[in-house]
Amino acid sequence: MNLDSAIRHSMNRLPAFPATIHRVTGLINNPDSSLTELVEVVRLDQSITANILRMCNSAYFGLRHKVDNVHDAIMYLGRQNVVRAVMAAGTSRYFKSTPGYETEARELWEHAVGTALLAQILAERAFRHADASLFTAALLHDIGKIVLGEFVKDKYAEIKKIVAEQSRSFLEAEEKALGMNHATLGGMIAAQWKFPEEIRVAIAFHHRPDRLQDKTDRMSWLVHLADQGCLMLGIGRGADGLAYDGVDGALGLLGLTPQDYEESLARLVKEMDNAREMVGIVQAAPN
Amino acid sequence: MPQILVKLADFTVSNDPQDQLVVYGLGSTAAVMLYDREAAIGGIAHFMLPDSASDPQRAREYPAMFADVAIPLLVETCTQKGARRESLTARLAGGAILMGQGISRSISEGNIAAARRILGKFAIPLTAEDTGGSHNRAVRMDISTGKTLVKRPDGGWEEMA
Repeated sequence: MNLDSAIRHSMNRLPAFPATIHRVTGLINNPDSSLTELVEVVRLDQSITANILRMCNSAYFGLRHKVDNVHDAIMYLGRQNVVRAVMAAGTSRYFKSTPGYETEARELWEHAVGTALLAQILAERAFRHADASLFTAALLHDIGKIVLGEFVKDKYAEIKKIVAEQSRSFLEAEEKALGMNHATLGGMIAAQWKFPEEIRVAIAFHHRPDRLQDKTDRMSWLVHLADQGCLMLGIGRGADGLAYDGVDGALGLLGLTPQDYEESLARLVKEMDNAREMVGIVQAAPN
Repeated sequence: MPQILVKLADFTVSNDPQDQLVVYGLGSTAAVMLYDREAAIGGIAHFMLPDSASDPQRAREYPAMFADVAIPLLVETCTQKGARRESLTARLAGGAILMGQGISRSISEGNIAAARRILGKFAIPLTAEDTGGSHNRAVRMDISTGKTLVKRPDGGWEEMA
């Protein structure tokens, strides 16, 4: 089997995406759906139910009441936050240690949550609005690493050599050594999991939003900037580290100033503190 | 040896010879490490932005977030614990830059420049520096000896003399 087929084969072996999550987003987007229907769907997935209850009482969601059941959780969260909570509660199970990137599951997840929170902070600053699909795209932006990790591991020496000797980004080196990079692969995984196009595109282009045909597509640029911000702050680090090629003009394209960016990074620290329970649903590996 | 993790936007000072202070995940952020050899007191501030003027409210909540608040606070806490300002020496690590035309340069370079300037104002000599480049760093300091190590890109630890 050649390398490309091996990567695709490995992708196809990923478990199916939790049906509960797509059903929940479907119900949320349907104005005629009822709270009872939502609660029934969420309750079908025990892992999501447990994680939602754990997260709901975090300062991040800012609920005034302590909740101990799914009905109350969903009632108090509001529709957009239900999507965020279900997405985090349901996708955390895919985050596992990725040897090629020298990243533990917990670190990869922390980076995912950090990027999701920062993307929203930046969107709120730029457009006074952040919708839940941005949260989802940012949360899953590195999902390709989960499959590509084993292949990166096999070609690790070659990839590191390309980065060091040719001053290429880790992403470009992946492409040269493996014929595929984790962003493109992430977009393919999102397609396999039947995510809407805007989320697939934002994941696939999160390193190179300038290569998008529609260069004004905001979501990819927001994820690109959020991803870099987290790396700058050491929120999730791996073998690829800071060998990251930031695209020029990203802030300007969103109408943001360097000052806005600095203030957003400062706010992220606070929001990460508030979202400790969300980060905590993926446990650190026992030593 | 008990390891004390100095988180992002936080600082720690210790006079317990058993302690080792550690910072992981220095990207564009920076760590200033102070040590008084005679008193065997040391501390680390892990800040992420150069100047608090942009966000004074945040600086009240997270004093160690900004170099201009973090470093004076670190000096003051060291002296409160018994260090002498004249005996303090400093080391500085971090301020890495992402590749390309990204946005990290002004923040990274600002952090390093602010640290040098503020230490200069306190007349605290900067004896070792490991900054810039495009790789993550980690640092650790033994309180008993002041020995400070920085993690190299290849994963090995190297003393910051």
